Amino acid sequence: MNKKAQSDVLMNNVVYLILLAIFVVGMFAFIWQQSNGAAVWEDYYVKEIVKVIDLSKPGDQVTIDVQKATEIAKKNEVGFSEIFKFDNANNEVCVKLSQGRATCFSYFNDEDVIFEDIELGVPVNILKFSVKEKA
Amino acid sequence: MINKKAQLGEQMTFFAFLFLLIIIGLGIVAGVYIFFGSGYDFRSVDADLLNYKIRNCISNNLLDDNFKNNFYEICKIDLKVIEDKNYIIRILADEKEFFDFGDELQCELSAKNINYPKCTSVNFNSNGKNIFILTGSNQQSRGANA
Repeated sequence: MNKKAQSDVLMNNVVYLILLAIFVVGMFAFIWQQSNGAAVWEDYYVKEIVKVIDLSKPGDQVTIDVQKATEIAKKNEVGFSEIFKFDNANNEVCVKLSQGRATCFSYFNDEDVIFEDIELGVPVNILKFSVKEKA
Repeated sequence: MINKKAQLGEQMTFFAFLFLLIIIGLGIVAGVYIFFGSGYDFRSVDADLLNYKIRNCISNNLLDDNFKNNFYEICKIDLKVIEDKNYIIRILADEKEFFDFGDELQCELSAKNINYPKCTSVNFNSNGKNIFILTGSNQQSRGANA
C-alpha cells in the first residue's frame, strides 16, 4: 500500500517535470532563434535590395555588402546559393537567413533582375546582380 | 471519500500548473516580440522612390492622352505590383486631375493611425505646367515558406 502511494506521488511529479522540461527547452529554442536576428536582418536586406532595384536602370550592375547576411545564414546552416532569390515573374526579392522561411518584398520597377554571384572575402562578402530590360 | 476528494484536488493542481506555464510562456513570447519584433518601416522610402520615379518620367515626357493611357509602360512601373500592393498614385497638372490610382484619402489619415499608408507629395514645374504628385505605400514584407 505504501509502495503504491509512493509510486503515485512519483508518477505525478514525473509528469510535471516532463512538462516543465519541454516548456523550458521550447522557450530557450524560441528565444535563441529570435535573438540571432535572422528575421530582422531578412527584413532589412530585402528592403535595401528593393530600394536599389527601384532606383536602377537597365544595364546597371549592383554590388551590395552582404557580410552580415552571410554570417547569419552560415550560423543557421543556409547555403549561400539559397540566401537571395529574384523572382522576375512576380517582381519580388526573397531573402532567407534561417531554415524554413524567407522574407519577400516586391519592387515596382518594371525591369528584370539577374543574380550574378556572391563573392566571398573582397574584403567582405558581396552580392552582385544586374538590371536588364524586361524580357 | 476523503481520499477521492484529495485526488480531485491533486488533479486540479495540474490545470493550475498548466495555466501558469501558459501565462509565463505568453509573457516571454510577448516580451521577445516587443524587443526584436518591430520591423524596418520602409513605407515612407517606398513612397519616396515611387514619387521620384514618376517625377523623372514626367520630366522626360509630355503630359498628353498617350502618356495617360500608357502611363505604366512609359514610366516602366509594374501595374501588377501597384495594384496588388495597394499603392496610391495621384497626379495633378495645373490643379486638374491627370491620373489617379488608389484611395488618396488614406494618406490624410496616416498621421492618426500607423496602419494607413505612408505618403509623399511633391510640387514641381514641367513644360510650363505645375505638377503635383502624391504617392503612397503600405507594402509590408511577406513571409514565405522556403
